[in-house]
Amino acid sequence: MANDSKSKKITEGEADLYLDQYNFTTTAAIVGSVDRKVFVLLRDGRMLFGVLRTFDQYANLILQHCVERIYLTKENQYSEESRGVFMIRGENVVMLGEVDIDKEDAPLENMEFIPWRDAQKIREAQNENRFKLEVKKGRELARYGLIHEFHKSDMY
Amino acid sequence: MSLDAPLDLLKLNLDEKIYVKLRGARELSGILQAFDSHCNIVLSDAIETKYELVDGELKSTERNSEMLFVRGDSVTLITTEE
Amino acid sequence: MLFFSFFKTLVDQEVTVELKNDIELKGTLKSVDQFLNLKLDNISCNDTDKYPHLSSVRNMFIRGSTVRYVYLQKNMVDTNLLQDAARREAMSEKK
Repeated sequence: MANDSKSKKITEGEADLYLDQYNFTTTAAIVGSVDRKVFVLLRDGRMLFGVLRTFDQYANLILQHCVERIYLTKENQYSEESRGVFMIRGENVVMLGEVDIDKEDAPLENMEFIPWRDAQKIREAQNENRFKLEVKKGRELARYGLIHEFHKSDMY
Repeated sequence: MSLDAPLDLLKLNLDEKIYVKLRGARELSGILQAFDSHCNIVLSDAIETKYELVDGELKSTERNSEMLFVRGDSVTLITTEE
Repeated sequence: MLFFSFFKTLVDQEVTVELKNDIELKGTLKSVDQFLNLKLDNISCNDTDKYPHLSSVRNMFIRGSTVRYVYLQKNMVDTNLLQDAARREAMSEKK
């Protein structure tokens, strides 16, 4: 009570200003997804599903009950592997989306589940193949003065 | 206006047609509407030319866009002549 | 800060974001931050094969560094205002 006169309240206008600025921060963009099921696509192409527990201004993320999923679209197969808790460094995130848990399994219904190791092997072979192809493409395009660089860390 | 910094070239060419070369074997032409120090740019009436090798032969495809934001980290070269 | 402000003026408009892996995501722009990370609602994707679960995704946070283009409509942009802002930004950076 004694402090009432001293504690300086901000005016409504100032409050609006703060709120306006807050709306356009990384934090504000992600905060609504906390404690919800999200998917995260990493730059190396890995796809993770889990409950977003916390994050910071760099979009570093903590996912709980994390599941990694591989889609083998051409083969119409997929696989999943439990990963527990993941801490993801923000720079490796391509995108993050909130998943509607009522609809999330719909695309999997017509796909065949295969063992994780098998899926992983196929994916690794695909990535290796793609890398070789892109490097070759880059070398050929360079002859025309065109830049086509490909990094192994950008498999998304 | 004089040219004493590289990006002054862009300032002098606002509302003019420019050509941009990009990573990913792409080129753009369009009217420069905005730029910043990262080479982020906005082009209007943009035409993107994407180059691909089909059986070792260089093929290009074009795509038009009435207003296009280009992230600067893809930009490798900007010129005012074709 | 020019493009941060620019994208703020595009909030609630429908845009198409092309990523550096050629994937295109169309949606309503909901937010942008200083790194030009984008937030889209009601997204649709040109390649549902690659990311089959996108149909169940309500909103999406896209990291700015993975963006190649953002396709816009002419009527979303006041080009005179934008060019002036670009000139002012160039001046202020020089000092």
